[in-house]
Amino acid sequence: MAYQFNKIRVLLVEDNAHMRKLLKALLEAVGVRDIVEAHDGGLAWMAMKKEPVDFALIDWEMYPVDGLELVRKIRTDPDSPNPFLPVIMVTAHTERARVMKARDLGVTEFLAKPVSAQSLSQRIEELIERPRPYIRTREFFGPDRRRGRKGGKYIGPERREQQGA
Amino acid sequence: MSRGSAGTPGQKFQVLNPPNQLKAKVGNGGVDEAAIKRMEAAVQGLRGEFEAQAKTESVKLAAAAAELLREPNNIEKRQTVYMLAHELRGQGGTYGYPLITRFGDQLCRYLDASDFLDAKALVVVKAAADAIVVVINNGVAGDGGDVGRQLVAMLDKVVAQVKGEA
Repeated sequence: MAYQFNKIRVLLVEDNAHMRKLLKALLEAVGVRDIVEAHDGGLAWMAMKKEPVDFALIDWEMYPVDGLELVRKIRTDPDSPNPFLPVIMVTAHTERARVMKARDLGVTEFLAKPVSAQSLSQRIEELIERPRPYIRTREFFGPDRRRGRKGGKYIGPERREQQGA
Repeated sequence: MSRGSAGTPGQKFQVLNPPNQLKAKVGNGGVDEAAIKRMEAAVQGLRGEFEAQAKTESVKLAAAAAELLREPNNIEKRQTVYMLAHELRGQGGTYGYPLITRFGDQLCRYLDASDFLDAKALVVVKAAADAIVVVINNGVAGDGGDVGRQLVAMLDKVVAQVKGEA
């Protein structure tokens, strides 16, 4: 039996009408029935405070409140309805520096545009099957950023000791 | 909720393991092949709409790039060009037009690389915009065959010329 997507509610935040239509069609095709749509981060914030959602697909470039600001609020705002919400950021910005910035604000997964059936379904499966622990330091709260492991050993920068809880 | 090693004396960070509520709701089994096929059909169902929209948007992009050539320091015009190209690069590949994504990406990265581009350098931006118009107006899908190769070569040549003059 496949995943029962009819049991979840998904927040879809995208300002481009056609892109929003495409992502909604893809979610419906996979079986999601309950989709809350918003066309900027501010409206999405209000919507998710009204109705709890199980994960969010969020575009980066939006006006007036962009995807990064929305993720920052979800993770750190005292009024956040769910700081642990799994977030897939959908973006055509694939430059390393930009990706690192979004990751440092607490994005769970990235979905690079142009999207495909395969790429979206893979990211959703990542959220479901390989959720990462959350890390809280003085300067960061979000999914564990340590993915650069070789042979089980982390090889990236050591920040936690400097950033302190 | 498990808190990992949080609370250890001297600990400077907390590791939190919230319950996997998503998994608890959707269960097991993954995204099956039938769902993938439905998703692909959904994309195909929107292809015509994308093509019509991309024709309009690419013409706007080429016009905006021409205006930017006339006013290279106009931040608003630069942003308009960037956003039009950004949206097109984000969608072309989904509908079988990877050259739209390629040229749109080239345009955006070119603008990202420098805040100070004069009219001579912005010729690259205009050429990339024009190439996108050609791709969508002529239905140059996939790698575009000979037409695609010519467009890629044309744009590379413009970039090389601008670099040579820099």
